[in-house]
Amino acid sequence: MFLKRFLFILLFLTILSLVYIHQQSKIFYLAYQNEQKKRIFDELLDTNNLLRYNTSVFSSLVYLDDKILRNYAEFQMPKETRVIRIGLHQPKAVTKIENRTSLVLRIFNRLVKPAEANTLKP
Amino acid sequence: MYLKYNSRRLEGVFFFFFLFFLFLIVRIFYIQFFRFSFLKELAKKQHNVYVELQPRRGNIYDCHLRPQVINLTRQSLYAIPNQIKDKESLISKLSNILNLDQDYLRDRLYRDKSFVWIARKLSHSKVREILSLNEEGLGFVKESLRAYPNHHLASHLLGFTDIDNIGLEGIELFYNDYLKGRSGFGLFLRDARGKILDLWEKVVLPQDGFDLVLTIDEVIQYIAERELDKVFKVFKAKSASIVILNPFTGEILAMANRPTFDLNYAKDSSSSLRKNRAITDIFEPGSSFKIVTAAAALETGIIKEDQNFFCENGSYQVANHILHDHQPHGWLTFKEVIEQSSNIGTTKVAQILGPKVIYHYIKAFGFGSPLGIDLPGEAKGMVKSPPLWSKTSIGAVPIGHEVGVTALQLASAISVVANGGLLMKPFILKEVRDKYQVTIKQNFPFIVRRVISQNTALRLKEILAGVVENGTGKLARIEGIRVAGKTGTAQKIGQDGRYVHDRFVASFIGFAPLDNPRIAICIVVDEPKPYYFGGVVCAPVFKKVASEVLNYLGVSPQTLEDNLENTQDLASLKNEID
Repeated sequence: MFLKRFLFILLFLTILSLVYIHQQSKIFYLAYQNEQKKRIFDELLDTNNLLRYNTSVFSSLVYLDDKILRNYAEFQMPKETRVIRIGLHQPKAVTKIENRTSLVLRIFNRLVKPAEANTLKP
Repeated sequence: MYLKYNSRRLEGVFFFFFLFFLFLIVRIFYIQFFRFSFLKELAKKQHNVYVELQPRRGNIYDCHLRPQVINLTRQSLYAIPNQIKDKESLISKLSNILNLDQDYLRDRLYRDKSFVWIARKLSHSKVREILSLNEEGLGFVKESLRAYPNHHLASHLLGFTDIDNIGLEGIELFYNDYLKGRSGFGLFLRDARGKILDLWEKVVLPQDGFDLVLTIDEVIQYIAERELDKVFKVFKAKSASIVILNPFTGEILAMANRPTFDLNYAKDSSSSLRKNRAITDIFEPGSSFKIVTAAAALETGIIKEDQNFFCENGSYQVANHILHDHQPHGWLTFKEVIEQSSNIGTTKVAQILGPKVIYHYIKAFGFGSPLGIDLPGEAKGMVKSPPLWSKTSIGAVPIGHEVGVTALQLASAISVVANGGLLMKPFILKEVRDKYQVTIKQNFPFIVRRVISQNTALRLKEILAGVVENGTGKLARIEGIRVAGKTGTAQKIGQDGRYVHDRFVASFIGFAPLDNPRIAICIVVDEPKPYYFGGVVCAPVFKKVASEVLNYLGVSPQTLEDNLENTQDLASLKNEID
């Protein structure tokens, strides 16, 4: 009876120890994985910072001025009247004309063979 | 006999093991209860490593959040001298890659230390080259490098840091406490190979530095610097400064000096290049200072704009000194005296007012004491109190001699006229933000004092507009926009203490538009050659800078006309309602 209880306790303690060891090894494994991911994250962050810096440098007025002045032209703030704003969407009227033209072209293309550039014999 | 003998042997063995286990139990007991804390500490030292966690130094932005100073990560090279096998070979290799002196490397690598810096904050290409050597005993540590995307733009304002990221000049120095943050630390676990794991026993996270948002506008700063650079080169000047203020708030929109330096290579530049002359250098302003005399004359009510003064045809004796005008004048009204910048006329006005009144207004305009700008090294200028005036001082101080001012003080003084008579405290820090971009501190405009009444300011504005329209500042005129200003040309004092005739300080102070000023500008050029008049050297710079800045701010002749029409419409509407 005593031996049975002793063995049971021994088994229980052994399992508990193994679970603890497994947990610890898992923690270390996760720590290593985290370390790797952190390194990648840091590298990406550094690259991002560097790219942001480069963007700032290349878009800075000083840099643009330097580039333009090399061609002996002076960089100035353009006057409001000299700025032409280009919208993202084309006006509807233009699109309609384009469609119409393309339809006519399509009909002609079916009737007549379109002109093609042929290579001359060498 | 045999059994007895065996029994004794068994007892002996038993006794031996009993003693052995007793010893072990006592030892375990001793270790567990008496050596516990010591051994625990020892184990901790082996398993844990103390790591200082560096905070991120704050970034600096302009008023539109365009980055002016940011942090980049760079690798710093260190060596563990004891682990290096062939030191001489390594020295020659590193010397080639890093362009370092071999004696310097020898001194470092032969030290009896476990850690020595070789080179800090290296470029990526150099790091790659060193890594390709695959040498034992070398290692890299990541460090933060301050990077300035605009190179020399606003260099005197922003300042720079040392290798350990501690502010040395400019904003970097003045607001170092905000920018630096607070470092933290952590007791991190390390494995059997000594590799630090992301498992900590105790950690105090670092507090990142705060970001600063400045009042300067990158575009205005660029325009100012570009034009200043031109005048500095064309007139082969010794130095030049420009200050652009918002006259109603005291916000510094731009401040620049020449000569200048590239912030990314600050350590390679001399201290004379790094001087923020706009606030540190004092000079005699000459005729620009006449705005103080004119303001005093109008504010006290002793002088009227149309009051006549005889300008002695260009030569007038004050005590034992003969005063000259740059061109002879006869009778001039007070308005014309300022427009034509007559020294004799201004002196006669000052003689009527007296030294005490002049001194009172000089001090009221902020001269002779620091304005309190949030930048290091601001000079207070030099103003003598009336008891210290000589007999000739009344012919010198009111026309901008025997006084020392800074470019910032002149810009503040002209702002007083522009904003209707208030002296505003100039400032450069707009906001302090934390890393989540939450504003934790904000600077608001601060009125130092009322210097002149609104009425006097309006009258003086008209006189100063006359300087540009009819007087010495014609080259500052902007088509379609009324501007006001005052030119200044001052002889410099030679080594013998006398005024010399070949070295001058040219200046121009002004604001635009006249009715609703958006910018006040001060331009100072030290020793321009061959021309030296403020109206010739500095006024065109004002014109160029003001017209472009106003255009950038959306103020053009067209908008002014629209505003005028709107005002007239409103006025007519009001009349109809009445």
